[in-house]
Amino acid sequence: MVEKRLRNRLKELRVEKGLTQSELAMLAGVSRKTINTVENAVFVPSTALALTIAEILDKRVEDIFYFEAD
Amino acid sequence: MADEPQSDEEIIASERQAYRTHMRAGVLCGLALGIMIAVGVITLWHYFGPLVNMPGIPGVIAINLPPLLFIGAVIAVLSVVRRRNPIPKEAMSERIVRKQVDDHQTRGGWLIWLFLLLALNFTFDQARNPPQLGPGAPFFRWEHAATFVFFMATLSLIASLGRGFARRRKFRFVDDELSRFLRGRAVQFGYLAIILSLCAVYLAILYRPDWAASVLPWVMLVGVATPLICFQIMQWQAGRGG
Repeated sequence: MVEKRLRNRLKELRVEKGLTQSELAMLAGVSRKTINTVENAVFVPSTALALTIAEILDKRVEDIFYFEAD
Repeated sequence: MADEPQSDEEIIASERQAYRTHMRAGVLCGLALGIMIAVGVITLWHYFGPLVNMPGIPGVIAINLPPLLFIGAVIAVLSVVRRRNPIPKEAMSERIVRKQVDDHQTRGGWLIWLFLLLALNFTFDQARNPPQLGPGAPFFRWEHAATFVFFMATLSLIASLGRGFARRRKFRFVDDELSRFLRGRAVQFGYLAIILSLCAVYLAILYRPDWAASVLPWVMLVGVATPLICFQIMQWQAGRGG
């Protein structure tokens, strides 16, 4: 079975939307560190948080998070 | 003037000012009130106790009454001062509290290291002079061990629930998704460390049962320090590269 790694385009989409980490964190109701760790692929957010972030960025969850084969 | 919009920094400064006022007034008035009441009670007991055939002041009461009265007085004065000088409403807003939590987590990490140093010192002391309890043991020995257990239990609460667990206003922001995830991993490390230490202690005391009272405080320290240190390191890593 091919190992898959979860990647994201959060940083790119956030900058595109003109938001800082702190602003996105405030809108999503989490800490700035949470956004930072999600961007760096250290922390996998819950479904609720992923949907909230997608809603804020006007994207679908699949546009932000995707699998990458190892 | 009162309706002028304030910047976040001004709101945080006013909240900090109110908090400092509470603490200063609470500690100073509590100290004065506690000392006054303690001196009053001891003096009354000393002079009037023999007149009504009361026994002399027991050592336990003489030693513990002043600090207990001080703590009680500080709590009483703090609650009065807080009611009369409330924290500004703007400082309660989510935006401000989040900023404060972020700031505390960034700058307040050293407090944990200070607590751990204290715990290390306390553990060393407990391990060197383990309280020998038993029938007829003086109360102070029991009290010494109980203080250690209370201190360690408080630290373990901090390790498992987070530093802001006692502050209702900040708890929901301290206890966010990432914190729960990091704390879960940190507590997992602590669990592993404490079980391994307990296994080692169990084997050791089969041969030297008299070591039990000396090594158990170290096991408690390992159980408390491991998750706290892991959590601090992971929090620090999480904040990097923003």
